[in-house]
Amino acid sequence: MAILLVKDVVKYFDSRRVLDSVSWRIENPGIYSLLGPNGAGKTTLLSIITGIIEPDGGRVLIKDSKPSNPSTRMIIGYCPQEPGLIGNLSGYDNALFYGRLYGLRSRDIIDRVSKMGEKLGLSRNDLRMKVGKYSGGMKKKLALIISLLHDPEILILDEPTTGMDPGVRREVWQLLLDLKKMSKTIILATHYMEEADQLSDRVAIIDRGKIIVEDKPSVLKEKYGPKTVLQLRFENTINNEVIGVVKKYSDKYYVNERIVKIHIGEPEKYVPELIGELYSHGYRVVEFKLVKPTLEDVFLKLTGRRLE
Amino acid sequence: MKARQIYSFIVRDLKIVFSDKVALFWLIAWPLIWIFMVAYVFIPPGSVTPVSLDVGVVNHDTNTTGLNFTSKDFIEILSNTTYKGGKLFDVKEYDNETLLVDDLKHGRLDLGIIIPANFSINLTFGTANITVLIGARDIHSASINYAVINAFLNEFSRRIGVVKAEITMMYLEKSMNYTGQYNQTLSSELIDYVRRYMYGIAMPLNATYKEVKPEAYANRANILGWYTIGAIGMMLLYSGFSQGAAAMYREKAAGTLRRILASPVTPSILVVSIILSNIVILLISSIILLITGIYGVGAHILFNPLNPAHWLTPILLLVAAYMSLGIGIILSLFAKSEHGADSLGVALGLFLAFTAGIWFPRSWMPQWMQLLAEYFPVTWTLDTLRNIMVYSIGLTELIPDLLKIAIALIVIIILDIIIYRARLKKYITMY
Repeated sequence: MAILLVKDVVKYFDSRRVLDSVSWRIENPGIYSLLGPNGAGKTTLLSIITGIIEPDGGRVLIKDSKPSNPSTRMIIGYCPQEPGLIGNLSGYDNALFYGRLYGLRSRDIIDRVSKMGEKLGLSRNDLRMKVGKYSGGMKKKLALIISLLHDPEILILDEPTTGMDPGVRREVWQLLLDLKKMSKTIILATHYMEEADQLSDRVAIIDRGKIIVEDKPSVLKEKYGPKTVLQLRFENTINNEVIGVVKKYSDKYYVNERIVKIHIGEPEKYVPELIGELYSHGYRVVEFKLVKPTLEDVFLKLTGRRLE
Repeated sequence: MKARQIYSFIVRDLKIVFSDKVALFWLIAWPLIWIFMVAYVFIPPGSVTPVSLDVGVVNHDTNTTGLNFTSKDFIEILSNTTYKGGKLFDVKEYDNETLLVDDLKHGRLDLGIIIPANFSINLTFGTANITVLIGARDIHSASINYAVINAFLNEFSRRIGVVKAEITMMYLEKSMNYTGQYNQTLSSELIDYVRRYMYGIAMPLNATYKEVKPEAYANRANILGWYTIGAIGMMLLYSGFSQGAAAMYREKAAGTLRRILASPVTPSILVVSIILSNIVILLISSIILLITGIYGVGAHILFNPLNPAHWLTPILLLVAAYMSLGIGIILSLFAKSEHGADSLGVALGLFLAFTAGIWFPRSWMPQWMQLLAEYFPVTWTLDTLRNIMVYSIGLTELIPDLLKIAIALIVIIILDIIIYRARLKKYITMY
């Protein structure tokens, strides 16, 4: 019996096909990432998996049961991208509201929220405050805690760390790794390559409504990643002229402020040539190195576009 | 489990409402303001007394010596006429018509009376003329002023007629005795017959007036009771309409709908929970308004546990609350966003509150607009509440209205179910 079975799922919004024969199967507990750019169809697929919306074609089963079945929902914890919190109520009151929907008793809810809050840095005083006064990171933490209130077997998280600072993000990652140790199944939609890479047992890359590949991150990188990735760091911010030079050597590259990563074949031949040409145009390369391909490189290689 | 889910919505919505000053203002403060306005501005204590009119009189009649009926007597009777222990007219004499008309035009007088020269002579020996100027301080007072002075003048004319008949009879008897034509038996019958006939000319109809129903309306406490129920109705309409129309849009806009739908809550339980939580809020607000009406302004509102009809009041309040929300759900068909649904609900709710016999009596409305009250089920429910709580009308008399209300309630529930199945469920699951 598969934990999750998604079979040939199709979904239209008006006449736009947002999911195109998506299939995905999860057999064992662990962390499974759905990696793709904004608008790839991640949230729609998660909405179908949680039973919020029905697919127009295909089927979804969670432990052989339909997700819209209330008993199935009892084993699912869902944390949407928008936290879905009520600003006029305190953290505790928000938790009480959602916890009671799962039949939990008030005292149990308060205990669990307080304990998990401590773990994630939300004090009892914070939880007594109105959520309207929370920072974005605090809201995300509370939303995550609420999705764990009923101790679900399957946790579905839609961009859980978006808007969090790096320190808090690490705390959340640790929490997810702890949950994995407790044999939970975590389905994580993210557009953060690093998040998917570091946490996941398996990654499904989704683009334009289709899962294009699905495997372990290391296998994906080995199988679909480029052989060589050249990383150049410049003294100044990279401009169009630099890009123009880079394009002569490869059409698969991406820029991050002063760093450009290029998928390049025969590096021993082309790297000196490229750096020399850049130097002749007056652009000084501060550092260059060959780096291991990441999932972003896999995505770039497969789609020709960046993961943004 | 389902009960716990519904309870969760009720507790959440109560907490939201009681922490939201704007929501509290519309649910409680705004209708309370209206109740207090009625109690202390429009119908202040002591204001519900029999009508008293300010009358200006210009008297051009100077020749009154030796006459039985004079203009001075007329003015004195006018000044001393009473109704239910109070003076009916507050009379002020004017030197000329210009000043009188000026005061009428400025609303300082209700009536003007111009007594022409030779009024007393004509009143004594023939028919006297008089000019009455009808003033109006508001849209209703002209007709009231006309009716009151017309009744006074008719009564005055009749009494003068009776006195004139008596005088005539006195002279007739004296005349018959003097001429020696008086046959004791025959003439006493004739004189009696003539006397009755002459009285009949002077007073052909003698009506007896008894007040039966107006007591309920004329009493200030009852009027305040009527308006307290009206304030509840007004609140139910604009709050119920807007909540019914916008609740689902609101859940979606707040981002809570996605989380709720991922929980074991089914769409039907979600809709039922939202309706029930709003009913609870509307009922709490209604109870606060009722208590304020009774203890705050002294409204006459009854609840006698021994009277079976009075046990209908909580049910009828519940029905009125559901009807408002149910009509709001129907209104959601015409809105595409939370803001649109909210605005439509409040605007239509306030419009109907003021035009459909909820806040203002339907008799104040033009004939065509009174149809709104005739066919608006919330008005039926509130009128029945008034009949029970304010006027203590018995159960038997209420049965036709209760049947109408029950039918309307069933129709609204059926329409809501149709809308839920055809649109709302689709909207909820259309992420």
